[in-house]
Amino acid sequence: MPDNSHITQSFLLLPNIMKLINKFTSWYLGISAFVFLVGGILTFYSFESHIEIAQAKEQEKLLRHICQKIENGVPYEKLVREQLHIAEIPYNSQIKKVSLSDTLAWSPQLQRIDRQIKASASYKINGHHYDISVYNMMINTDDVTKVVFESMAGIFLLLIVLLWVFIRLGSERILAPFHNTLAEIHRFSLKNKQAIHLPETSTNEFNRLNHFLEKMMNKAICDYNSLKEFSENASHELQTPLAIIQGKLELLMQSPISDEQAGLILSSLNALDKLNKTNQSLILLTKLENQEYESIEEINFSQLVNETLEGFEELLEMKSITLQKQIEPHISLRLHPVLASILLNNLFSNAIRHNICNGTISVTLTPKKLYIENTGKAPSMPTEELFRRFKKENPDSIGLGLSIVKQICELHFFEITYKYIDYRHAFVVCFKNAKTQKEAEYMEVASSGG
Amino acid sequence: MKILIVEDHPELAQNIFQFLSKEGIVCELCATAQQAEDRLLGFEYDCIVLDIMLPDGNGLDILRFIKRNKIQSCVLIISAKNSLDDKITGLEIGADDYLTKPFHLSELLARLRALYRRNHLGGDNVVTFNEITINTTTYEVQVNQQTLDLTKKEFDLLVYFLANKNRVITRQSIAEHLWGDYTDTLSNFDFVYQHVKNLRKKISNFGGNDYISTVYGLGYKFDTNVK
Repeated sequence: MPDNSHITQSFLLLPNIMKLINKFTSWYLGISAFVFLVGGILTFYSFESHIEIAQAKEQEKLLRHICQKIENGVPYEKLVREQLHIAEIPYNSQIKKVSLSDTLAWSPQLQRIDRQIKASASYKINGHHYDISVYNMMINTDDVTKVVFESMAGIFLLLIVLLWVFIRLGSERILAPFHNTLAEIHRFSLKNKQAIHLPETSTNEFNRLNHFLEKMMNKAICDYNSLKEFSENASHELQTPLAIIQGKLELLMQSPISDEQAGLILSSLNALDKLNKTNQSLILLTKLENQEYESIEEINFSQLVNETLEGFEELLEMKSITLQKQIEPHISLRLHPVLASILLNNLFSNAIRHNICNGTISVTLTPKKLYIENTGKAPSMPTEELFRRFKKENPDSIGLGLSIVKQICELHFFEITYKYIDYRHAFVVCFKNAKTQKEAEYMEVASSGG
Repeated sequence: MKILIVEDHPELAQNIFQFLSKEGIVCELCATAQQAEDRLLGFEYDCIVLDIMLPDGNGLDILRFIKRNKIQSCVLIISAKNSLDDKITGLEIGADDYLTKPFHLSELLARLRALYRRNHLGGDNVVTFNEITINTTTYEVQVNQQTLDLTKKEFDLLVYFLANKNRVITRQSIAEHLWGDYTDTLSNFDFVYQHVKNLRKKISNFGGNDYISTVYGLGYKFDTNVK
């Protein structure tokens, strides 16, 4: 791909996307942790109660088993073991039902005092009455806790590992349509007059986003076109009557007229000329705002500055203005040639118009900036208003020249400043902030992303 | 010279018609693309003044029609200023010249005369008026067989005057003719005065008549009746 803008763009966007994923992940992990905790506690209690019931049943079974043995004629003394007590009790005494209790007792296996479960009951077998107690180790609560905790922690760890894998691999795939959409929007330009088709995705939200964006882009193109059409038509519609008036006045001028009539014609022609120029300048400003001039190629700015200055030579001579110029050769700028010459013409003629007799103009061009300084009277209005439309010092000018200059500079990310020092007007156009349009767009994306 | 004016606006067409007719130029008017194409197939013209925006089509299509049918007339496009593309496209298709509205009628006349000279006088680019002879190829001017040393601007000015003999030419139209579009910021016309003064001086230095006179406060006139 010759154009690596999309790669660069996704790099710039990556931190932001990770944030989105991180958000999801942290919420998910938080909820999981809570569920695992509660689940662990519940599991623990249910484990414990189940174990107790099972143990009790086991003890009962053991008791019955011993009874069986005694019934079968095994002398009970032989059955007595560490955890089995059998004692003969008076036959008359009441039969004890199976009772369970827990007690602390020495556990020979574990070599420690441990909680033990004791099941005892009395049975009347073959004319004897025996009291039988069976001891058994109880499963330790700590052990249960440990098992539950370990298994829960294991599952949680597995979850985190899988999530990490998902973020690394899966999220890129899931968010691919989103990346794609961003790249397409980035490529979108009103000037191409071409709506961008965003493909259907398998994600509902992205589909909604894409549909919305497509609708919006179509609307923007539509609006842009109608605005453009309007400005074109408006200027054409204005220009035709203006041309008619001018023609009529010229025809009138050729007929026999008196001096007084000639004066009237002259005033009308002058006013008409101003109207024409205002109209044309406004059209130019509209076109600049619509960004209709795309700087396609680099131009030799040094050469253009020299050529433009040559064009002003006569006028400088007539006004007795001295020109000092320091133009570094071979400075190229990415600027539309028409705009470049408008920019220079406006600045130079401005420097001549607001000059004094026997004044000077100095023009300096370096790769970083264009510096135009001229002698002249102090400006009568606040300098910050200088670039605003229809702000003018001289009632004869139309007051759009510097607005156009400003607009051209803004369009190309040049920085223009004005100062009045030591009876000199100084305009500085700084190219160093100039970026190619693409770079600027990246900056925008990056700053909005971060 | 016979020309066809393709302009949908009647008043504008009438202005051109009146101005050119006084010069003895034969003008025909048509307001639609259809009319224009019919006329072009039926008659021959030296020059076609072509408006781009027409009610039933684009002037550029007529231009293509002219080129397709190998019609020899030269074409001067007149159009609204804001369509830079039209200018480039027009000249690419093969228009000979381009004027943006609003234009000075004297400018139109000068352009038409220049086109006519280029296309019809077989490379003979010599304009002669009484004792003054101008060669528009070599930029040489002779007065009474003596070569005059004129600057480029003075030369252009003289040609402009000769194209508009006996007409009042405003300083504005001269300024625009000599300096093009960017006269808008040059609010005074001192430099026009300067050039006209120099030209008059140079011609009279070689024994030429002072044909150029100031008219009212309006501008100048190349008066052929001066003795």
